[in-house]
Amino acid sequence: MKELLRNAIGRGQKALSEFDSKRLITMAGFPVSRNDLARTREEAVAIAERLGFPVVLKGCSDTLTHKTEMGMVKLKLKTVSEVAEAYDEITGKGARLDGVLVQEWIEGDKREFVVGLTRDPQFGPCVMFGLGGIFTEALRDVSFRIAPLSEMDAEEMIDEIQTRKLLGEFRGSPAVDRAELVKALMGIGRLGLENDEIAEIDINPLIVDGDKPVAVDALVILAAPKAGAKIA
Amino acid sequence: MREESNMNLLFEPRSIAVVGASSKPGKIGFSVVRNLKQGGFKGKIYPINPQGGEILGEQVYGSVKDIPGDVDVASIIVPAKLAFDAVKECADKGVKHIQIITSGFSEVGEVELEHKIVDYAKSKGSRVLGPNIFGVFSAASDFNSTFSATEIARGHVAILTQSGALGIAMIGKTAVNNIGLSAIVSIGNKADIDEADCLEYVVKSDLTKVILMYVEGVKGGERFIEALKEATKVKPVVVLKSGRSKRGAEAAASHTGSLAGADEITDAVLKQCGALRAESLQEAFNWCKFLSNAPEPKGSRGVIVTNGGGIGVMATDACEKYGVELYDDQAVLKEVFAPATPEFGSLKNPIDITGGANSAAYDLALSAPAVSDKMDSTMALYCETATFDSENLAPMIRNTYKKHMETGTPVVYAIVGGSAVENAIVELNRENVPVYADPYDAISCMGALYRHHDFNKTRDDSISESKIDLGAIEKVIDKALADGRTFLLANEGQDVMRAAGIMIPGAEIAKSIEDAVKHAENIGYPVVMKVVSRDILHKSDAGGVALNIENKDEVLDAYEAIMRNCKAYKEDAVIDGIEVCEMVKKGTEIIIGARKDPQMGPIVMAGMGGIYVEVMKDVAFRSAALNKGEALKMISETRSYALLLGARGEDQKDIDVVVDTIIKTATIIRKVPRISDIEINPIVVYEKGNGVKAVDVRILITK
Repeated sequence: MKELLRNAIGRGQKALSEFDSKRLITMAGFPVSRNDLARTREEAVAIAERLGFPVVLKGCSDTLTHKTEMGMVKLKLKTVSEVAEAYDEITGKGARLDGVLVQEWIEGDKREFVVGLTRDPQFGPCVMFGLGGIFTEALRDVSFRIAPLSEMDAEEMIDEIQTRKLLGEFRGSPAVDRAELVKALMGIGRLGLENDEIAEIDINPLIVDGDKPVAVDALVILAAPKAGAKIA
Repeated sequence: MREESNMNLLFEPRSIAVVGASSKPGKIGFSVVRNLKQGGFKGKIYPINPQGGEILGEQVYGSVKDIPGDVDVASIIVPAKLAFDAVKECADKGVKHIQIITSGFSEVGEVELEHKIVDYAKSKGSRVLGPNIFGVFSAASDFNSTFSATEIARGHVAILTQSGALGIAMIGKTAVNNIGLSAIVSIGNKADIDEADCLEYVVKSDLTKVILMYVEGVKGGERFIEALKEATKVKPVVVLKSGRSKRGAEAAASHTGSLAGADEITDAVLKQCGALRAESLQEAFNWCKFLSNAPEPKGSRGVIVTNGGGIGVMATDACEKYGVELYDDQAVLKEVFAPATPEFGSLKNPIDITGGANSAAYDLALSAPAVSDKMDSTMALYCETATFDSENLAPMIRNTYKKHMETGTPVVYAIVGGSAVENAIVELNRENVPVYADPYDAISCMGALYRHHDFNKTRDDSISESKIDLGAIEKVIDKALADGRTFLLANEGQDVMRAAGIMIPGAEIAKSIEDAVKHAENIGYPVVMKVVSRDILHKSDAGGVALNIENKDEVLDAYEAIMRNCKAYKEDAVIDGIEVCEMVKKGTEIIIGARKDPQMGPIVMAGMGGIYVEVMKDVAFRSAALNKGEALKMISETRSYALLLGARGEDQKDIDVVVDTIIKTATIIRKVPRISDIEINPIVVYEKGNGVKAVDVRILITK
């Protein structure tokens, strides 16, 4: 974990790519959609076949923001030829990429949440939980707790959001596995507490697959190296 | 307003008959006569009691009939079972206003008796106040017909109260708080005379500067709203509204009903009328007292002067909470306050004249905003310090308050400390100087003053209406009612939308394959095709639905496939045709609703729509008697308004059409008596210029 962070900072990165961000939060016990990084078209197809169709392809790099707006996200690809075509399209845009992320397609029930980590200048690392997707900024329905989180803290912050009803049975979908969600939030708190290299984490959306919370996008922003500090 | 209600005579009568008067101290029938006499009422007092005699020097009559002259007001104190006969006698005599103090009517289920009494009185042209009240006090005519308060402090606040006990308690509390009353009336069960009637009088009364209403439930919302709007134009109206019941449960049939905790609607309507809703009795009293003495602010920005940083920050927070803007022209602040502020103080608003400030420094600093024409109001704070000459605290405040009054600049004081400070508060409050023990209390008052005047500066009580085809809507309702339904079917709901000019997705029924192509080209691709057959309930299961059809060839294929599938699914199914519908493009989903609220009358609602409606509860309400500006204000109150403005780099949505659609929906609910609930959810909003599509419409009707 430390190695992943230090290498990235050593390379002068300001953030981790989506692939690395997900690797990092997975190490902290956060559930993540299955994915792998393809560096060639053939690899992309092979990964897609391994994961099972349909899949999602996304351009992957630590400098890439606004992936969707740039046409770097291709959803619900159902065949080998669609995957190959999408791969060419993404890599043909001329952006510097680490590769193309091939990710399982999760038929979501539209419930989207957000989990975040931020550093408060006074209280240090804080975990955020709330309503995700396009509503995050508009509705600001979020709650915060200072890391480390106890189980009680995580339970409380989940129940503090106004839209908590979404976590129960909703329109034919089962209630969200709370134990799993609590564990995930606590993991993010620990991650922030133990790694000063992380400035922020943004997991949005966290969707619900059956009853399991799964991160389908993640971004880890790195702390600027301190002036004069030597990075091992 | 009701015509010729002549409420003047209820508050300023020339004579009163007390029906059920008693010579025994302790009886209500005695107290009313005593209070009238002690209050100095100049008109005639006629105690009525079959036993005759004299009460406190007034001749007792056996019956109202026996009274020689006209009677303006009668007070009924006899038991409920005798009340009808007593009222009948008064009405026959031609008494203008009959106040029924007696209880035991609709409030305990005796609805019929109450109706009988009111109907009789009205038939003779008499108005009824109550029943279940404590009476009326009016300073204008020294008229104290209450049975409770012997002494009532005179002043400029008029109280209209639905609760008797609370009203009586408020009389006492106003005296302690040195808030003088111009009038107080208890309206009880509101069998006839209600808030709107009483408002009519107190709005016109010169003695009244501020109106305080305690309201539990509203009857006849439209009248109430109209009267309240008229009142707030003229003077501040402070409202205490209780009853945060779960009324939504009674009408969970529509989202508008279930989303509307009664309180959200009340809150929205009060704001829309320009009334000031207080959270607590203390807040209401603070506002009343302050508003009846404060001058009108010339502009919107105030200055905070403090001797401590902490309390200054608290006051700044309070300003944000209560909507008081702070003056921030640094150059002017420096010029005005530098002479009164030491080097290590702060000349940014809040002005910190530091803990070393004595009364002379305060005097200097607080005189500045009173005379400066730049700042429009002052919020003065004081934390007790060892260096302050505390014997000069009250005189300093008195002096600077006077300067503010002379220049017509509103000011409030918040002073914090021990017994010297507390004593100063008590002393100054007696003189009606607005001094409080907490900056939040002080600034809450200033906020109320600004809200009242700001509302009137920009108020627009016009009502926007849109043209709708009422005849077409009535026809749809007639047909549904003839079918024995209290709701409209989907296509009937669409007919209502069309009649109101609200855009809905295009749809036509094709009877032939040629028709299908024609309709598809008219509507525009892509389209959806669905079988229309009373024999096939689950269209998808039967293979009777085709989505995302993009061209003529696909229409032909889909038509044949649907016919084939449906025949295979059910051989003898009668197929009426195939519906060709516009495929609704993605956009921002909102909800627009309207209903007849049991208290407030026709209301409209708008906010975030789609499947999240009930989870988010991100909606706002208004009385349906609104204009476009108010409709825009309503949607901009919701958090999801950001989505309409264009979140995440999206273009702005067609907000103009959303506003129009709200007005159209409001017009339907106001103009069509038999529609009780309308819910359009979702209504999809597109980019500016591209309008909206009302995708799903539910309408409830009544006979």
